[in-house]
Amino acid sequence: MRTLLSLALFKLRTTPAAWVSLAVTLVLGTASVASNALVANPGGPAFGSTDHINHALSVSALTSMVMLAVGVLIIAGEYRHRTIMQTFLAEPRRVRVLAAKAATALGLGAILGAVTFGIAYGEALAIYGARGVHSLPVDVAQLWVGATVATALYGLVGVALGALTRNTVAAIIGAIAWVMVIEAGILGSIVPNVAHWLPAGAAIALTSVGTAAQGALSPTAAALVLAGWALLISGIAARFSLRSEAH
Amino acid sequence: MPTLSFHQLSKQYGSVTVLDRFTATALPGRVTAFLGVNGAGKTTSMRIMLGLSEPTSGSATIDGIRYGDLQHPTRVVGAVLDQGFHPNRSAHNHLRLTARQAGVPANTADSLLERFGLAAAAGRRIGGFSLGMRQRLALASALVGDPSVLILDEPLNGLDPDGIRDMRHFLRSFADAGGTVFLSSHLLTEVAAVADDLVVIHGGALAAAGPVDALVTTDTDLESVFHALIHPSDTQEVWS
Repeated sequence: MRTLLSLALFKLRTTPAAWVSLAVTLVLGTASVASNALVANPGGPAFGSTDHINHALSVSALTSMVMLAVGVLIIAGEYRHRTIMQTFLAEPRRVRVLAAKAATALGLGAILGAVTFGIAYGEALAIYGARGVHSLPVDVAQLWVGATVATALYGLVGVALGALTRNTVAAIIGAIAWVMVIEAGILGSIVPNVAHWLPAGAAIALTSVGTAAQGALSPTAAALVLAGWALLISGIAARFSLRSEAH
Repeated sequence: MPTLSFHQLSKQYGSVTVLDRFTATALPGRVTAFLGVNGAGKTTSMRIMLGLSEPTSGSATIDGIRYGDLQHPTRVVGAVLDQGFHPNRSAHNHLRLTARQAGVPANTADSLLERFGLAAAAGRRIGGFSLGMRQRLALASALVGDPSVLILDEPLNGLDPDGIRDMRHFLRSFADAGGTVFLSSHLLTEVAAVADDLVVIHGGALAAAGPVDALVTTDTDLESVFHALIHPSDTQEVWS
């Protein structure tokens, strides 16, 4: 299994997609913290308030979506370029291949979520400190763990969606449409109590404090709900992948 | 050295029968050409042999062992099907990856790049490779684990005359060293020049098998033998 994990990482680092994703995350992450903290928002939360800082530190939305895309690429990219055949020739026990890819996405997601949040937190400390706010009135540990867990689980969801669709574009666009349009736009407005139990609702609960977290699940419950969704989708994907033919 | 055996192999996709109790063998030290028209069942048979597809019934084994049960499959069998390459990965990294997958030293990649005339292109993106270079890279990938069996689906496609000659020489020397070569091709003249044995499949079932010398006599050629097997009533369609 260790070999399979190192192979999955080798595949990622020998193609540009992973490096581009990392660069995009770091650039957009740091830019979003600066703009959310510094750009005045009339009618918005007061500078230095819990809601203001929560907004500034909301990089996990970015890291989660990036990791979802990377998760999709980890497996659907192999179908797209037909390298999956070589992978299964080298390791015919497909369940091990899928498990290694899932573990890779989880691990990378945890690192990406934790590191990006760490950078964002450091940047926020500097920005708020320069303007006289030396102590951030938020539970940083909860947000940090939330960002780590949410990003890791979104990576796992990405692998599952990639295995199910075997199509990078369809999986990524479908996932973004689900999160942004169906969950956040439609279900969040019509049936908010149901939306809290869905993947994006759980991720928001896991990575937010202040007004954004009001009425949402507790962080622990949200982590369990998101993990449940990730495992459910992964189980369906594994069942589909193990039964279907590799082309 | 391993023998490939297809035994009563059947494959059904819904109501479509792709393989119908197909039985054949490929022996060590021999180049076995696997012939058949498009859709005859060649690729499906090879895919089942390589564990990429499950048979409806029957078996396909390497010395009695299913591919999926081999401890280090790519060290026993090298395969060239229509597997692809990541277009943004370099040839060197592709072979290093294949070597790691096979559990052999990564520097195997360097010697294979040299051997297949790809050393100068080692750092280039595979996406910029010609079809012939891709075929050579695919063969190099198949040999990473130093296998004793080669399963090749249309390995001559895209090769220029020099490439075809090199491939013929390579297959001959591989078999002469005791290896088992099982290759499909539509290039009958080229096949006749290198194959020791023939397996002809038609409609998913075995149409003929045996040594080339026994099937192709001095007053005929492989093309006419093949067409006689596939179109016994001589009603073959000829493009006008």
